[in-house]
Amino acid sequence: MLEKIQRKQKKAIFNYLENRYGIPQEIFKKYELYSGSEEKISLGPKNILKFTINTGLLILRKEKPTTSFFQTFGKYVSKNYIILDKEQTLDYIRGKDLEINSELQGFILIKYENFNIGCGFIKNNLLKNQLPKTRQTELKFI
Amino acid sequence: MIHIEKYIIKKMDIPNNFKERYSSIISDFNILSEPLPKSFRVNTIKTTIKEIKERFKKYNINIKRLDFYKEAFISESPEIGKTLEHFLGYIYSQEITSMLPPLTILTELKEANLILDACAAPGSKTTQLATLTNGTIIANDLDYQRIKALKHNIEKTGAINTIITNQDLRRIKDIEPDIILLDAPCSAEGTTRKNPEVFNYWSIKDILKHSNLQKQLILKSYELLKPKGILIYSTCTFAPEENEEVINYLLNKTNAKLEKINLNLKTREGILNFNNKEYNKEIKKCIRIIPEDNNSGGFFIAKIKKC
Repeated sequence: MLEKIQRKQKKAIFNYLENRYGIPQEIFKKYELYSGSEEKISLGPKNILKFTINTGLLILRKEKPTTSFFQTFGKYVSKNYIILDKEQTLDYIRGKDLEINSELQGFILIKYENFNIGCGFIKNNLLKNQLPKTRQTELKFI
Repeated sequence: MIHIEKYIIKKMDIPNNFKERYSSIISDFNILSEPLPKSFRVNTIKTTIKEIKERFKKYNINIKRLDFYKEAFISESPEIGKTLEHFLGYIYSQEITSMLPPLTILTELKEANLILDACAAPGSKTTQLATLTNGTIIANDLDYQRIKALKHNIEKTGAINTIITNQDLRRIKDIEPDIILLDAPCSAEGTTRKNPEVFNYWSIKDILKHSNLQKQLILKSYELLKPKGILIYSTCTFAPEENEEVINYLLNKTNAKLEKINLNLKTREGILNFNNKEYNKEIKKCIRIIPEDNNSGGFFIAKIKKC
């Protein structure tokens, strides 16, 4: 069962997204946050029905932004992102981890040109793949 | 070689009693064995038509815009699904006929606060509706297994103004949608170009079973609807028992009114008699999409106003 997130926790979540990724809080004004099982946070319409099982977009699993969240809101991200080249992007979408030179740590947005590919996790110059298995694929045109 | 064999088998598989039954509706049965053209819709939540056209030009993939809907394209390339744009949810592979129901309510969607997509999985129409309205969309489906695909597609396309429910429509209460889209479970006769196996389990018994369920669902949908609200009833089947007869049933049981449907592609009127059954003359306002007319699948749509 989904529950509306209370104002204090909501503020903390939006602060996290703003502080870590630079996503302005105003863009979420017309939506509401909901929590479900396993510390999943979803974004959805202001009002939901009592028998709702999901809302539009799962945005966070604990502190990890989801692939769909970054693909939808990545255009607002102004920090903690890396830009991959074509071959790296193809490998990432295949589901591979990548060695990378970056001072960034933790969950970051992966970009290719202006496209927001999804979420990755960097530790000690290793970019650990975070794409869900169902989204990993072999692209021919990029 | 394998493909050719499959193709021949498909052609031979159209049952004779199917052809006899629909000889007054379909002239060209051969088309039911031919593969559908690949069609997709530009997801304007995430991108623009201009950007997609430019990107596909860069890929050297020919795409052709369809007259009836500026976001809809077809392509002969089987590799649309291998593009970055498909991966990112910028485009959504969707059959031409499946795009039609939301296009019958473009004006109403602009004003609507609550829209119920009653049998929503896998979410093609839900995600299309999300590009056309600022209202809240309830994407409901009874089949829990299909909810996974629905959720996946809603997330991938960024349809945030959506909630997902897993209810038997007949038991839903305490909501009053402005619009209900009832794309009813049906015998799927119009999908044989995509799913030729439909012919293997095709039977009159199956048609009548669906017709009975559809009558319950349409009546319940009409009850739930807000006064003056709009109900769109659609199926992807030819059987009049699942189409005109269901609408006839609703007209007899309620004070529902049918509205005219204008779409920019070839449509035919609802039929007024079949197998010695006569239907209400208003049913002419319903539309049928016949595969040979638009090189598509088969479809039926009725637009109903609650009075």
